[in-house]
Amino acid sequence: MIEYLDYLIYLLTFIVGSIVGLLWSYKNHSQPYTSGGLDSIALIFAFVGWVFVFLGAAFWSNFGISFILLAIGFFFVGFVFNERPGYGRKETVIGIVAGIICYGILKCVFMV
Amino acid sequence: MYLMADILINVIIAFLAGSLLLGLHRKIMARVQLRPGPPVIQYLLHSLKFFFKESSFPKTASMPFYVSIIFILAVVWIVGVIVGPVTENSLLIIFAVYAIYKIVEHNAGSSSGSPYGKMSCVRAVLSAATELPLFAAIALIYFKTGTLNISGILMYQSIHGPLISSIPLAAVMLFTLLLTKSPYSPFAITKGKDLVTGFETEHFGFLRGFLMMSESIAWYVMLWLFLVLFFGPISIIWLVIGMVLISVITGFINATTPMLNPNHSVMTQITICFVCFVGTIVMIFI
Repeated sequence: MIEYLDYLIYLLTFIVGSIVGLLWSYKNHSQPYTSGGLDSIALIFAFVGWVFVFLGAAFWSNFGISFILLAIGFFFVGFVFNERPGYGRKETVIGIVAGIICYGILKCVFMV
Repeated sequence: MYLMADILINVIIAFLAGSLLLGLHRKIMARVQLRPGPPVIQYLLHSLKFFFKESSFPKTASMPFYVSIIFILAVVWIVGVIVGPVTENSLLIIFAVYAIYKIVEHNAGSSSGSPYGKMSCVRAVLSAATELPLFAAIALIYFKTGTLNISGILMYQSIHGPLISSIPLAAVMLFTLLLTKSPYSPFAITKGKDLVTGFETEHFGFLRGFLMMSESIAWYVMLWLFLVLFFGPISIIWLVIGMVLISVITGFINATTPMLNPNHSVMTQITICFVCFVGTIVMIFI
């Protein structure tokens, strides 16, 4: 197994997610920089992405599960994180908080 | 075979991660200055964009030097990746890589024939002062650990604890180098805004793409080096957190500090270097 190949894949999924997110947000949001409410689709993506990333970190010792969770997670994280300026910030913060809570529950309650 | 694959993977990681970190750096600067700033991925998209744009060459350029110097710059930092993250080899080669980088900066400016490039070329000679903190930090690490090999330094730290706790002023010196290397730095006299973009001003199209790619790889290598030399054998997660943190800190500093003029920049770097060097010697031997 070549070292660091998995990290390259995580980086690539994050970048692909970022490009897709950027294009998607430019298509859906015509205003350049607004401080509006939450975007439900971005919120779901941020939630799934950050929860998957933290779960992947929790299952670090099991390479198969961790690899799949992290690869999918980074795609969604990148999608929301790199939306056009002014969008995706609140969703990202909510996603991070949800991810940390899931990680804490897994570590403390289920002793993963 | 595996070594070649390792080098290729590490160079791609250095390019992609370095680009994202520089994008984050730019975003932080923008937010500090109360601007929305571009998305973090913008630096990477810009780098890739230049590879597909039309390339033009100034009539005053001295060919083929004007083109080849850019490839030399890319090769120099690829060597940095090989010596650093891939093989964890000697710090002296890293010093040589940085010294050649300054020479490339100098020649990239002079070869274009542009007055901005030439002025940047002159400042590149002055800014050789940035190598002093690197050289002094390497010397101090050698005094402390007795080796110049990165893997040996890592071994030393796994036994005696991270060097940041025993020679913190050497870390300050290397951080000064990182600050100098970061975009819009107060010490970035070769790319001062009075020179448009300094030695990069007359490089267009794929040449600019190569320049940006090299800058990304350089940023990744320098951050990796700083974290490994002063925090020891840390996990990949802490390495990522460290790189993000340093990019954020340098972004804050650069957003709030004006660019110094060349004389002040050089004197500030030399003063920081002198104070930290003497301080560390006192800490080691007394």
